[in-house]
Amino acid sequence: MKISESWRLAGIISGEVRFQAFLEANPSNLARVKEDPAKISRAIKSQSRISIVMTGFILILIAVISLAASAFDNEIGSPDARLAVGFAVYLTLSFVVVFFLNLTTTSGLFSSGAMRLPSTLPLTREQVEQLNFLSFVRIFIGPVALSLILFPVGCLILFGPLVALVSLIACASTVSIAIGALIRVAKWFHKKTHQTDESRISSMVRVAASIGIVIGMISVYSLGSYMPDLMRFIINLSVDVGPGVFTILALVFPFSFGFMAASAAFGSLIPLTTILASIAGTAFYTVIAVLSFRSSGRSLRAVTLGGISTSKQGLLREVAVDIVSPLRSMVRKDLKLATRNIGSAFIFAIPIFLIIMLFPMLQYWRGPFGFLRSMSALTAIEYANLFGGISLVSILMFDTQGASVHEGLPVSSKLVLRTKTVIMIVPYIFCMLALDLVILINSPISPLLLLIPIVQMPYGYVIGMAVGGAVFKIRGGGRAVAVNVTSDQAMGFVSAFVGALIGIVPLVGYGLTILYTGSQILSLATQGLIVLVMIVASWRFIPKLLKD
Amino acid sequence: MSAVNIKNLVKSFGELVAVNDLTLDVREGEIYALLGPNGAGKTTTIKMLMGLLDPDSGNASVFGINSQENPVEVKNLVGYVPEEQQLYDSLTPRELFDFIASIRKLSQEKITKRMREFVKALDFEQYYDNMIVTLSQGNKQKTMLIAALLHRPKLLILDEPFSSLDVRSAKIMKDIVKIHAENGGSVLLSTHVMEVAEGLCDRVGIIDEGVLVAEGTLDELRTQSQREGATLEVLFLKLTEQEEEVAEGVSVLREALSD
Repeated sequence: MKISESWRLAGIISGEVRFQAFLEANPSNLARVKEDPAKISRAIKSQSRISIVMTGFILILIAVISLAASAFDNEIGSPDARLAVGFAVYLTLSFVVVFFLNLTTTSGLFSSGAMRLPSTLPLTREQVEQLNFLSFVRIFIGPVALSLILFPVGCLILFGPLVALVSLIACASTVSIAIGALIRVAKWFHKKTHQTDESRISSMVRVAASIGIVIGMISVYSLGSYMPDLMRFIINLSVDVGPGVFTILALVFPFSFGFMAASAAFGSLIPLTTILASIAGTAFYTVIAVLSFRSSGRSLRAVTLGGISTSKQGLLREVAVDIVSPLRSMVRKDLKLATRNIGSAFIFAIPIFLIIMLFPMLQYWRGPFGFLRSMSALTAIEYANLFGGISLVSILMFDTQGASVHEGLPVSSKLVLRTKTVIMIVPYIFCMLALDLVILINSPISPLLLLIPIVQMPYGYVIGMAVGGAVFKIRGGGRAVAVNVTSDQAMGFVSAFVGALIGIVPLVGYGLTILYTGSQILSLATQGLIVLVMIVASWRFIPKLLKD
Repeated sequence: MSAVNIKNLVKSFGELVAVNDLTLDVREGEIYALLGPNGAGKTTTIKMLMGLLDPDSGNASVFGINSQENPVEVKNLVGYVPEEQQLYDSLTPRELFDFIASIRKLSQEKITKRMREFVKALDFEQYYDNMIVTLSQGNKQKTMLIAALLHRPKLLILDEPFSSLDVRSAKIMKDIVKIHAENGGSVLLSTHVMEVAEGLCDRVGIIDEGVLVAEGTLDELRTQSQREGATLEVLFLKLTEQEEEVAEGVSVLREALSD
C-alpha cells in the first residue's frame, strides 16, 4: 500500500478515534449521538479544531513568554541562568501541554477498537502496523510539529544556530518522553476508569485520578501567568542555596538541556562542572527519549490491536446483592458513574476551578487599603451559587445513560431531586471552605467575614432543590428528567441563573442588615435566619411542584 | 380484576395519532401478546401504561391502580423490559442489581438467593462483574430481564424481549414467562416473533396505526379473518392488510438479487 493511501486511511481511523474520545468524555454524548447525529458530527469537528487552536495558542504563548524572559528580562537573573531556566521551564510546560491536552484522545485510541476493522481486511501485519502508526501521528501531528518548530526557530533568531540545534534535540526528546508517558498514563487511566473493583481504595484512586486530570487541564490554561515567577523562583533558589544547585539541576530532566543550551551560548560564564553535568544529562535523556520512542511504538501496537484488559484475574466473585436505602443507593450509583469518566468528574473539581478564577479577582478587590470587605466576600459567594446551579445540572447528566432502567423503577421525582441535591451539596460545601481559605489569605476586614461562607453552607440544599425543581418543571413538566447540558445549553443558563437568583437571597439579607446596622453579628444572624427559612420552605414546597 | 385495563386510550404527537381509542384487557394469570407493524403504537401504549407518557384522553390501569395518577405504585407491581436497552453502561450488572434491589427495598437474603438462581440458569456468572458497555446485546437483554424479575412482579411487561437472546436463554426465558403465568402472574408482551406469540401466549391483540384491529385466541383470530388453519404470520399480514405489500417487496428483491 502506498504511503499516501495509508495516510488517507489513517485520517479515517483518527477521525473514528476522536469520535470515540468525544463519546467517552461525557455520558451525555452517548444520548446526544442518537438525538442528533449531524449536530454531534459538527461538534466533534469543531471540538477538534478548537483543541488544535488551543494547543497551538498555548504552545505559542509559553514559547514567546519563556524566550522573551530568557532574552530580555534582566531582573530575573544573569543571561546564562535565564536561558538555562527559561529553556527548562518551556520544556516542562510543553510536556504538560502535550500530556494533558491529549489524554482523552489517547484514551479514545484505546477504547475505540478503530484498528479492529483494518486488521480483518486483506492487509499484511506490516501494513496494519503502518496504518496504526500513521493514525497516531495524525492525532498528534499538530502539537508535535508546533513544538518542534516554534521554540527552535525562536532560539535561532535570539541565540544563534548552536542553541537552536540543542533546542531541536531537547524539544524532540521532550515530545518523545511526553508521548511515552501519555500512552502509559492513558492506558492506566483507561484501565482504572473501566475496572470494576468495588473496593474503596479503587474508587478513591479513580476519583483522585479524575480530579488530578481535570486540575491538570485547568492549570494548563493558566500557565502563562505563572512562568516568569517560576523562573525567578528557580534562579533565586541558586542564589540562596549556592551555585552548586545549578550543577545538580543540570543532571535533572529537562534542566540538562537548558544548561547545555546555556553552555553553547554563554560557555565562559558557566562553571566546568555544570557544563559536564549538562552534557552527561543531555546524552542520558536523549537515549531515554529514543528508547521511549521505540517502546511507545511497541506499546501502541499492542494496545490498539489487542486492547487493554480491564477485567480482573482469578476466581469469579460470589454473587450477592448489597441492599442500602433508596437514597443511598442512588447516591452510590451516581458517584460510581461520576468517577468513570473525566467529563463527569468535572463536578468534583468545581471548587478548584472557582478558586483559580476568584483568587486574582479577590486580590484586586482588596483595593488600596489591602483589606477584603464584606461586599467582596458576598460577591465571591454569589459566584459559588452560580457554580452550584451548574453543578446540579451537570449531575442531572448522569442519568442520560440509564433511561431503560429508570423507566421501570418505582422512583419518585422527589427522591431523584433529593439525591441530586445531596450530591451537589458536597462540591458546594467545598466551595465555601475554599472561599474561606481565600478570604483568610486576603486579609479580611474582620474575622467574622469567615463566617459568611460557613453560614451559607447548608444553603446548598435550597439551591439544589430550586435548580432541580426548575429544570424538572421546564423540561419534564414536573417529572424527573435527565438533561444534556452540552446539547441543551438553555438549561445550563437557566440553572446558573436560578442558582444565582436563589443563592443571593441570604446574601442580600446580610448586605441590607450591615448597611442599616453596621453590625457583622446582626448581619450574620439575618443571613442564618434566611437560610433556615428557605431550607424549610424548599423542603416543604418544591416537592409539591413535582410530578411522578 | 384485570391485570391491565386500557380504556379508550388516545395519544397524538402533533398531527400523528399514535394510539387511537384503544381498549383492551389483560386478565390475571394470562400471557397476552401485542402484535403490530413498526410504528403501530405498541410502545406508546406500553409507555402510557407505565405512566411514562400522559394520554390525551382515556385511561390505563394496572390491577386497578391508575397509571397516570399513581405511576410509582404501578411500577412497584410491574417488571418492565423496554425495547431500547439504555442501561448504565459504566456500571456492572452487580452494581446495577444492587441499585435496583435497593430502590425496590427488597430483602437482602431472599434477593441474593434468587439472584444466584437467575445467574446460574442464564449462565450469567462470568459477566456479573463486567462493565455493561462490554456486554453483548444478548447479555444486556439478560441483564434487563433479571432486573425486571428481581421483585417477583405481579405483571411482566416485555417489549420485544427475545430479539437478542441465544437459543438456550430464549428457551429459559420462555419457560420463565410460562412459570410466571402458572404461578398466577400476568404477562403483556409486544413481539415481532410470530412463533413466540403463537407458542407462548393465551391471547393476541393486533394493533395497526394505533387501532386494535383484532383480538382473541389464535382460533378466534382465524375465525375473524376466515382463514382456517392459517399461521399467526399469515393472519397478521391479512389483518394488517400487508399481504400485497409483502408480495410486491419480495418480487422486487427477487429481481434485484438475480441481476
